Amino acid sequence: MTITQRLVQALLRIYPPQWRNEYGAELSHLLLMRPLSVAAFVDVLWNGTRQRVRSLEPSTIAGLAAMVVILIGLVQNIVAPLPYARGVGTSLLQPSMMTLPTLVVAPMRSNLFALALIVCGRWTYLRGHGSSSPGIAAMRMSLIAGFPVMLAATLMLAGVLATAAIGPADIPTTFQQHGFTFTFYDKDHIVPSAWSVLVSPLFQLPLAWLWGTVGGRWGLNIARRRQVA
Amino acid sequence: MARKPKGGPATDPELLILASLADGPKHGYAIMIDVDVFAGVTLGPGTLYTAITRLVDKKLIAPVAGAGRQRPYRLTAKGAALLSDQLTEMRRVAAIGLTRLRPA
Repeated sequence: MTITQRLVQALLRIYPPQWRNEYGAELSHLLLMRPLSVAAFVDVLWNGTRQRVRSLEPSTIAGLAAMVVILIGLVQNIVAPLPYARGVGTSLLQPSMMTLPTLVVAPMRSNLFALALIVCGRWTYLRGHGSSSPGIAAMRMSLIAGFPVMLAATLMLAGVLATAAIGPADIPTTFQQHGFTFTFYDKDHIVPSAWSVLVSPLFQLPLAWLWGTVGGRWGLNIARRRQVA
Repeated sequence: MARKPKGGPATDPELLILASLADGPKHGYAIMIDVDVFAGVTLGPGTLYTAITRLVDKKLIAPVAGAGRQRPYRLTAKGAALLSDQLTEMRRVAAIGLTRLRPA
C-alpha cells in the first residue's frame, strides 16, 4: 500500500461509518485518480469533519457545547479563583437552599441552559421525525454537560483534587500556592462533601426531561404546520 | 473553459451538480471535470461528495446501479423541476439586472 493510499484511508476515517459505507469507495477512487494536492486534502478534511458533526445526535452536540462552558468555569476556579465578592454569585457550584440537592451547578440552572434544553428537544423531534424521545435527549444533553462536575467530584473522592472554602475576609490563593484545589465560596467556610458535588448534576435530570419534552411539543407543532403547508 | 466566477448563486455546488447531470448520468469525477469546464468552478472532492450526499438525501438526484467503484448519478424528476425553477428565476433576475445596468 502506497503512502497516498494510506493517507486516503486515514482521511476517510474522519467520515462517519454510515457515510463511508455509502460513498467511501467512490471518494477513495476519486482521490486516488490523481496526485493528492494540499487543497484536496484540506477540502476532504473539512467536509469529513462536517459530515461527522452532522451525524452526531443533537443532544451530543448541545451537551458538548454546554460541557465546554462548565469546563471553563471549573478550570477557572482551579487555576485562578475569584475573590469572595465576585465569586459568591458566579461560582460554578452554589448552595441550592433546598434539602436535596445541597449543591447546584449554576450554569445548568440558568435560563439559557433551559432554553438550550428546549431547543435540543425540538431539534431531536424534528430530526428524528418523532421517533426519538426529546425528553430523553435533553437528559442526555444535561448528563454530558455535567460530566466535568462529576469527574471533579470523583477526583475529590480519590484525593487528587483538594477542596477549600473562602469567606468574605479571605484573599483567594493562586494555582501556584494551592495546586489542584476547588474553591467553594461560603461565609462560614463550610466545604460541601464530594458526594454532594457528584450527585448535583443528576438532580438536574428531571427538569431537563421536562424542558426537553416542551421542546418536543414545539417540534411537533412545527411538523404539523409543515404538513398543512 | 468558462471564466472562473468569484461567488454568487452560480458557484453553489448543489446547483452546479444538478446542471451537470441535466444532460445525462455522470459519476463523481465526470461531474467534477464537467463543472470545471462549463462553470469554471473547481469542486474539491470533499465538497463534491458533501453536495452529492445532500442531493441524494433530498431525492434530487439518485445513484444509478453501475459497475465498479464509479457509481453514476442521475437527475430525478424532482431535481429536474427544481433546477428548471432555479435557472428560470436566475434568468429573470439576471435580465432585470442587465436591463437596469444599460445606460438610458
